[in-house]
Amino acid sequence: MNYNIIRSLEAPRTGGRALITNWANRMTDPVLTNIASAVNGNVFVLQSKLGRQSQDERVIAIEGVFPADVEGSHNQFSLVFSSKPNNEKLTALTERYLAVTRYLAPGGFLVMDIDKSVIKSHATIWAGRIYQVLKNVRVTDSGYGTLTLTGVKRGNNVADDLQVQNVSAFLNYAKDNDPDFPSFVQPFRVALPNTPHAENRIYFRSKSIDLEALENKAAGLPWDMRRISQEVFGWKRPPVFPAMALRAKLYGALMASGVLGSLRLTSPVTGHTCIVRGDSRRVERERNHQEEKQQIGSFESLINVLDLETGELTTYDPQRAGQVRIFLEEWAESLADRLQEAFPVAYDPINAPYSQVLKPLLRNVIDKSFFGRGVRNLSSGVRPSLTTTQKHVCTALLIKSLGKRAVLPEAPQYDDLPAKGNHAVVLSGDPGSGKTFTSIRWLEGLVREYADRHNCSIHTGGWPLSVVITPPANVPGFEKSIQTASTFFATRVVYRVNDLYQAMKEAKTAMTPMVILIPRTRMRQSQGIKAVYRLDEPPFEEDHGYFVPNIVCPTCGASVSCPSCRTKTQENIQQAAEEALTDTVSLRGKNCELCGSPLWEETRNGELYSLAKALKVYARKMDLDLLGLILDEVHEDGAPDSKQGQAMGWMADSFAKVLGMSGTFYGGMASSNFQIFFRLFKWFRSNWAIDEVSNFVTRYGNWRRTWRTGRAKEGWGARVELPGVSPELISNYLINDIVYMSLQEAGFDLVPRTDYPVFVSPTAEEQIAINRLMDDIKAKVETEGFAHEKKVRVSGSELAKLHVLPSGFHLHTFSAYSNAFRCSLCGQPKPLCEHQWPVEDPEEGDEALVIEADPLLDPEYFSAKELALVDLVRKESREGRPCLVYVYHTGKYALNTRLGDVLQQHGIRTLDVAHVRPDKLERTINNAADTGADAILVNPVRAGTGLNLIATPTVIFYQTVWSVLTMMQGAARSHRPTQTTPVRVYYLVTRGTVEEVILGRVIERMAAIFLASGGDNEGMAAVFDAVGHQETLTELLVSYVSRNVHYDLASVFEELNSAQRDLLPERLANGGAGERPSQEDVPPENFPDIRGAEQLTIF
Amino acid sequence: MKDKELRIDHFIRPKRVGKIQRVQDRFSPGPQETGVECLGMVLTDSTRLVAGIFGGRSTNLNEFLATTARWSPCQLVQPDNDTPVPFSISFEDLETYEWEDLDFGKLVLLLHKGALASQQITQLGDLPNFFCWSKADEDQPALGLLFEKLQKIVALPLDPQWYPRIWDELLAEGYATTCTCYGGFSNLWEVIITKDEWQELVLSLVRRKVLG
Repeated sequence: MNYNIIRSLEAPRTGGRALITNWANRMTDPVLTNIASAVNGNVFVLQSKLGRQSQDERVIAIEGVFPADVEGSHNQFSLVFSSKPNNEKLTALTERYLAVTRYLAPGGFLVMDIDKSVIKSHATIWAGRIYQVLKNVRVTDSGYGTLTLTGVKRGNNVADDLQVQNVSAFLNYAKDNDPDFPSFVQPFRVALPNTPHAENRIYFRSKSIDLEALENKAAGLPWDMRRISQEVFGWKRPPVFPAMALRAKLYGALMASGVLGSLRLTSPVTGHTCIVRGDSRRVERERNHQEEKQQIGSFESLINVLDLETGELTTYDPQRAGQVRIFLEEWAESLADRLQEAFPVAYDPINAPYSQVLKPLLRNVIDKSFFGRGVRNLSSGVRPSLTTTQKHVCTALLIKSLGKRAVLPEAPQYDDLPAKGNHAVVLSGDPGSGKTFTSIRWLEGLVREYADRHNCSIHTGGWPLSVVITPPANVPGFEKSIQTASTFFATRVVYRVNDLYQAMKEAKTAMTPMVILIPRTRMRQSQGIKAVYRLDEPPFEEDHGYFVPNIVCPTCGASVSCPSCRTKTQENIQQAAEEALTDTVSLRGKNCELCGSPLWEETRNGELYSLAKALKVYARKMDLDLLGLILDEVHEDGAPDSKQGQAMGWMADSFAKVLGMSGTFYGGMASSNFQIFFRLFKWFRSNWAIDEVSNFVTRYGNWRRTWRTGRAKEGWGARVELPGVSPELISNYLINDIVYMSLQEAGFDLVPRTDYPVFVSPTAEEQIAINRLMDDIKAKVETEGFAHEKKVRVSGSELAKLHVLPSGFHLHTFSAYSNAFRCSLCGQPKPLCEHQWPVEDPEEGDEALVIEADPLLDPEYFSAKELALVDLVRKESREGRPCLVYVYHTGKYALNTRLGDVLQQHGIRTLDVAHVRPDKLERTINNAADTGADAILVNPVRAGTGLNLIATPTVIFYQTVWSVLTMMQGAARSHRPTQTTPVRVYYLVTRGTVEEVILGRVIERMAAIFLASGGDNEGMAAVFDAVGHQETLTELLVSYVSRNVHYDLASVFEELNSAQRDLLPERLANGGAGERPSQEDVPPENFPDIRGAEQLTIF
Repeated sequence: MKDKELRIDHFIRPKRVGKIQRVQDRFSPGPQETGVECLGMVLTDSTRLVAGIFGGRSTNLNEFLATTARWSPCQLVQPDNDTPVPFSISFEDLETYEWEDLDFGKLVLLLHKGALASQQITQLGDLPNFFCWSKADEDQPALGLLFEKLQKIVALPLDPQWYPRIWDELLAEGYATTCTCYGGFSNLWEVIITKDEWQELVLSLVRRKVLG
């Protein structure tokens, strides 16, 4: 072979590697040295038996065979020499010998020897295979019965110049021993690629181990790798720095979590010295549950007190009701000091209130009164402003966010504050506690502090940009709140990319700081923009010495100017024209001056453009500082794998300071917090990776797995997460970055709210229909079966019938079960009709036409639940109370339409707001209620968060929703600080159906969430012990069908009620939950089937 | 606490000990070479592996972990000692840590779950085996690690000042025994004690006013 080819190669800049397989005996030392120089690195020579060693240190001989001994070293070499193949089958040979290209880096150079006889009869196959992986292929005759093939490895792009026909001819030509073959090929020069990862390892399996090297490697191992040190020494709690003093209610949870270790305390009761210790540890236990073997992963908490005088050991189990309270009655006071040491607070409103420590400009922001008319004064001042608690919370948020920048330098209380504060902080408050106003003041504080440091003013500009992400229905309300709470900001609402561009351009030059409001649903994606104007003939015109592309309106043909697309030189005309056609920015949002038609169009083709991405890009290009981001209802971004959540993560990263707000931050499961933590907090990302959700759940949550039997492979099934969190989640994470604000603390005098379950007994006919549906689905479950891990084979829509049926079996979908169906032959309602459908016409005999079972629904028929709703609404409207009726199954099941008809047929003035735009929802509902509507039908998901629906003091859940957050938020819409009428919340439940079970589960979880987010120590017991029976809705439905589970709803309500009384003495004593004698709410009388014992107060 | 500053390389100093062989059985003519090198090993009295560092070519090591050590007893052959040391590995009790970013091989560290302070270890049952480390250049074990872990299981409050006294008592009563160490590990104790025994031990010390 002519090794001159090596001279044509250009060495990689940072060094590469060469591999030589079975060619060594034909290469002399100078050749190997040349190759080493050509690759600017080592040459690895693979030999079946080690021969002589080269003098050059860069040439490394390896004993081994190809390809087994280079397996794993893919894409590592810049240059590969491969010798001729042996005598195996051709197809195997091509695959095997082209396999060397796998070890070649993209752009690397291959020199391969191929036997001519091999090529002879299969040139086309060879050519195809070669050209798939190589480009610039050259073939030369080596003169020893072989052809030498050289080529450059393609990248990942497609083989664009693959022309088998030509290659075949080419190879055939080369085959004919043309001695001058290379001479007519143009001289070429190939720049070899660098080795992709210089530090990457190369595996040569046959190379023997150097023991000393191994020992040295072991001594220098990265022993501090996270996993091993974490497991050997235990997990270290990151420093926790709560915003404000911890509530006494949290002491129990913190003690039980074990973060305090062993404390030596003196009992105030006995005077004995005791060692007190709480511990929380993971346990995995097995159990037999309903004939299934299950494994439960949960946590056990214990608080132990060892009396040193008597040697007695007392144990408190926080998972048993009342035990923590007994413990705290004795020890709470002693614990307070230790807790203050363990958790130094960021802001102490009692010893160092904001009036003494905050910088004057921030103090003014907090103390300012509101602007605008119609603001109700909830504060104790003369003019409406933030209430005292809101002021303290706002201060705590500012101090958490700004660190030392927020406080006066001479304030001695805050030495430990970080210099620049936290990146993100969360405000978790009851619905209606004034989170919006507090957050706007927080934002104003941030901007004023920024302006102070950067000398921004209305003369100089240079303001940073702030953004509010809020649910679509809240956008107008939030904008109005900004105008009320602060005259400082200009606001813009952004729906599309071009709106965003305009708003940001404006913000860059604006005199006052700007806040952009973006509806949350718009964050995940938005439309792209495409120019629709076109170039006219002639394509250019001259304008004051410039060539300007001749752009015309597509509608009227009028000329449109595009100043940025002009050029002075003749050569750049084409470029200017292309720019004019692609520069959507300069004409973005512009309309034709003559006809007014837009010169651009939105497109959903191609890649959709996320507003979050666009904001990031524009801010960088415009050199605009992104300062404050408010994420309203941040719990909506907690879903894994959601574009919306991802967009929130991007946004949170782009802004300097982030404030998340939520009324229901805790979602009941450890994983629901994981995603929000991961997207909001940078420190969290340094501790947990995105794929560690299951580890997080194992650490802080509960799970269950079931033993699979009856299959080829027995074993534990997949883990299913259960509700409930470890108290360590509270001590390690929740209290660090979350500021809680309850309505009572905010100083609002809320009207009482009472919750009533309304039980509806189905009629006899309905009961038959219900039973029939149950039997039908049961049969399907039994025949089609479900495995022990509850993988349902029955379709979801079948199961959904169980949920929808109690309220909707008059629908066509359920005609087979509905007693609103009347047989066209006998006129009987379906449950009583004896005909089998479809029936044959008896008169036609054998040639009978099958009569289609066209369901004939009786328009005069109303179900018991519908009548109960009518009664309820009538009863309420007699008292002058408009009702907000929540209906979940809208859309396909169209329950809202049906209920609208039913209510109107009974003379009830009804409004269905399904068609109303989300940003007009609040106004529409309140206006309707004020102008005489008795019932307003709405889906709880649409009206769920942020709305202030005080005109409807009665809330009726026609259906129970499985999502507890939706239920809680929905019920809180009417129960707001500005509400003056006592609020009643009704839950309509059909007896003996799955609704009872669902409501029972929901009420239980609701209690758990309330107790966790409300920060009550005893309530943690409920959270701890949430393992029992929680499951997904599908699992619940399946177990309901297959095992006929009947839920005793009354006992659940009773349990909850007694737990509330037992666990929340302070709250009840303060009269925060409806037991206020001054505003007594008289429960409605004579409801269908309401039992007095079940009427209770949930909140 | 001082132990918080500890690093894992304070406890393990890898040092070449010998090579690992597969013990001769009736189907093989003699002990088989596994190509795995031992850089440190700790055995209980019952020749069960508690901790070990092994190195070698990744193919050899993978084969050793996947098949040889699971199905056949092994032995350690030291160059300066003719008597091989037999041992067996129970992978259910061990956590495995691997380092593969070596040019020509791989290293594996096996640690008994009882030697970890991780709270994920949840199935130790009522009679757990604890293993207590000491630093490479010290005879006194890192008691903080042991007692923090013990307290997780038995939830008995202890004052950190009591640790040395309780440790002496554990040794005296025979609850703590020394393991056999080779190479990279210097000292490791095994503690076998039931929950009741442990509680009784501490409470009796408290009642006798030894602890206070």
